[in-house]
Amino acid sequence: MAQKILIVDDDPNIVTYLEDIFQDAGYATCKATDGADALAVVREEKPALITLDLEMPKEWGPRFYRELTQDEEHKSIPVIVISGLAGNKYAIPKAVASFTKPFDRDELLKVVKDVLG
Amino acid sequence: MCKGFFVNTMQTFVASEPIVIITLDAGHGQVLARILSEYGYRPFTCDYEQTMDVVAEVRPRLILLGLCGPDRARILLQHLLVLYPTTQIVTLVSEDDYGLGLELLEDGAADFLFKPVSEEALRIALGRARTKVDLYNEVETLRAKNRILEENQQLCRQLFDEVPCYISVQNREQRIVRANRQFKLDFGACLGERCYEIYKHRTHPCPNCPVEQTFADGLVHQTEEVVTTCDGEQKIVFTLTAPLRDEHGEITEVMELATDITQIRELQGRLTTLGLFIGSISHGVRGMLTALDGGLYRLEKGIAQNDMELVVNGAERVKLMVSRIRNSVLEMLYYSKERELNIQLVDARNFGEGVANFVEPKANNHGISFEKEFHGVMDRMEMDPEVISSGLVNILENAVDACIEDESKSNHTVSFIMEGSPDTITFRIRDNGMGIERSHQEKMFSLFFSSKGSKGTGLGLYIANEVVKQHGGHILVDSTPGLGTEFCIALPRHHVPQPVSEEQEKVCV
Repeated sequence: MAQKILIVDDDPNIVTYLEDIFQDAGYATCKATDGADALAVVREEKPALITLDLEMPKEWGPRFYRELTQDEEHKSIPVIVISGLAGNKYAIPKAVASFTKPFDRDELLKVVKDVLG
Repeated sequence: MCKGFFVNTMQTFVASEPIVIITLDAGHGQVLARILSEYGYRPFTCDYEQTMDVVAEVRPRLILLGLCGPDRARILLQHLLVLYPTTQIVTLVSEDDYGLGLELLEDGAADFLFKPVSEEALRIALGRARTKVDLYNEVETLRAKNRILEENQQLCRQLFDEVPCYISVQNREQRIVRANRQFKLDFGACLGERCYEIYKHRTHPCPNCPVEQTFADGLVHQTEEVVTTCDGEQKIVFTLTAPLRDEHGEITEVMELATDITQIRELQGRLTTLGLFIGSISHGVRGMLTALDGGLYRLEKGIAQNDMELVVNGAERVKLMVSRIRNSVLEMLYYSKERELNIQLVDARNFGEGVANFVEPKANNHGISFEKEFHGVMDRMEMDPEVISSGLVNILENAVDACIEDESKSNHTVSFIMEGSPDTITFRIRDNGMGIERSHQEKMFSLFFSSKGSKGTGLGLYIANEVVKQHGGHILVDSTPGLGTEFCIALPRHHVPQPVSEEQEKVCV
């Protein structure tokens, strides 16, 4: 079965883009449009990897990440930050990688492949 | 009768004051020299022939001239006075020759004494002559000091006048007692007037007046003020005050020095705005560029796989992102450059139709019904159609977005209603979308305020409001959260140029 990636971003156009490239690379995807929904999706879909936008309405990415790490069952899921904020690598220091939009597609896929093996 | 007076002011012993004794009677000369030595003078005795050489050598302040041949002596006296005008020459004349004595006085001699001269008379006469020389020197010194003083005063005046700042000196009633040229040039005849009347056209003192504070504590105070020149021009000035004290150390006046910093503030405002602006749009632009990549990805994939559906979908995404990026760039260009209005005579109805047609497809795409109505006198109106239409489109798009976001109702309508009166054209943009929260209503026209997160630049409504104000119109908003919103934009039918200062003030805050 294909490994599943959860895409967390409030911009539907960017979600579609990430879905396209991940699916074309052979992964399954699921999505959440803000940090508040994301945790529920994690529990339901149990993704192998999460891509996380930082600046979203209602709940910011960092807060979602904090809640994720307090969840014993899911805290080991690797997170890749994909955000429009410069310097985002400091926001979530434990992220496996940080990308600033607009990102390099091949680099992103390479990191995903390395993480998921 | 003068004796008492001079005795008091004269020293009886003088320390080595040189004196030249001119006499043809060498014996008499020696007697005189001895007497004078006793009083501390340094006498040099000579005859008529040697006079000029000895005087040139000794340069005495005092000369004692004994007369033998009156004519020769008078010529010598005149000669000496021409060469040494400050030298005091006391003459010795024959006992009964009072007339000659007077003539010598007339010629410029300091005094005359009758021969044979008494020691006392000699002492007094020479003492008086010395006093005269001292007085003369004092007067000269005073004259020189006065000259320096005048020069300094002139320099001060020149500095005061030519400093490229406004300087005024104010008394405790805040009346201007002195002002420099630049001040008078820009604020008119102001002496005796009150500072706040001249500077600010106010009827009462300004709050936190730095001059009052300096009167109170004697320290330097500074403020930044907006002042109005007599031509009505507004200037931003940086003001410093300093106390002026009298000889007892009391502060009697305060000097106020104001520097025109209008240009600096304008530039600063603009830079701040630009900095804020770039910060605020960078996140949005990054998102748009990423989504643009997404559209291109689909487009390329569609072409590679010969999948027409993917191509069309990709192209639509690219189109949407390009239009969003274009709007952001245009807003940025509008904002980074001051733009003059390009007023044209346009047909009101055609204009309204054009604006509506721009937004109607977007509304229909989302299943929102779009209604347009035209009432009253449409005819022609004056405006800059480009900026007004972009402002109206912005508000209409907001209305559509408010409907899209609102999940509480099944049917949504956006209405665009134009009403024309002879003087005014009113645009009403009504929606039954989600409404605007009260706290957002107050800030919605502020620069960089956006309720749309990364999708908004916070410029759209700000610019719409600015251009409507530039046209002499106004925007009113009536909104109930959950029910919907109505924007009412009123524009004068005939353009009247508006002052632009308000925008600058806003930016400077």
